Amino acid sequence: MAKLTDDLMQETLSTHLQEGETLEHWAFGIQQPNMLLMLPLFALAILPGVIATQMLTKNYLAGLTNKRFVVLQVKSVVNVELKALTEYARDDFAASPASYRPGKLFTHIKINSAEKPFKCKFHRMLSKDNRMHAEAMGAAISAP
Amino acid sequence: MRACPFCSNAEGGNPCGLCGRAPTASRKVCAACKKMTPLDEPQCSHCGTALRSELRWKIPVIVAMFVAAISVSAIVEVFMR
Repeated sequence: MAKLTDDLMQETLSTHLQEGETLEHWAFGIQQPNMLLMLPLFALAILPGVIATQMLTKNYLAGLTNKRFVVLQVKSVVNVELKALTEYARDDFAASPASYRPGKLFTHIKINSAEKPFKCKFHRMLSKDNRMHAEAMGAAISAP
Repeated sequence: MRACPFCSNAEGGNPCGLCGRAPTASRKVCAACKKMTPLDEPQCSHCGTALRSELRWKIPVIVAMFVAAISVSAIVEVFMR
């Protein structure tokens, strides 16, 4: 389908002109539904995706001790009620190091364990030192 | 010596000398008794409640949300004609 150009608009309108009539101006326009209807419809289209993403997101609180890398799965960022706990001995990373990638927005940590695989990204904006701590943990377990 | 996180056996050991579980295994909080139970076992090791994945109810809810959204869009389109 050809994109509507100035020539195509003139050509389309010209077929409806009467004899001796000349076209002076032309433009393309739209009529949309009322904004009071459009806004709920946009919300209807976007909200299920936002809610689904939120429902499928897992929240982790990770910590590195002198012996272990401990991962707490918590309910949400505002409710740190414990849901699950996974731990890795720091010594284990010597044999199979984790991978870590410091991005501009997120610091990614991935542990390729057959028994306890773990993949998580830490947002730099969560707290003042979130990025620093995430990078320090990533560096420690990726190159022990 | 570290106590077993599942049976609280103070003697510990890997695997635990009492329950035989690895003390470093991934674990979750049982929704019924609120105690730690191994993630890879089908039932709570304390109260025996069946441990079901949250996806069991989340996936149908998400599908229902999309179906509802598509249905409402279709209804609006029919009535706007």
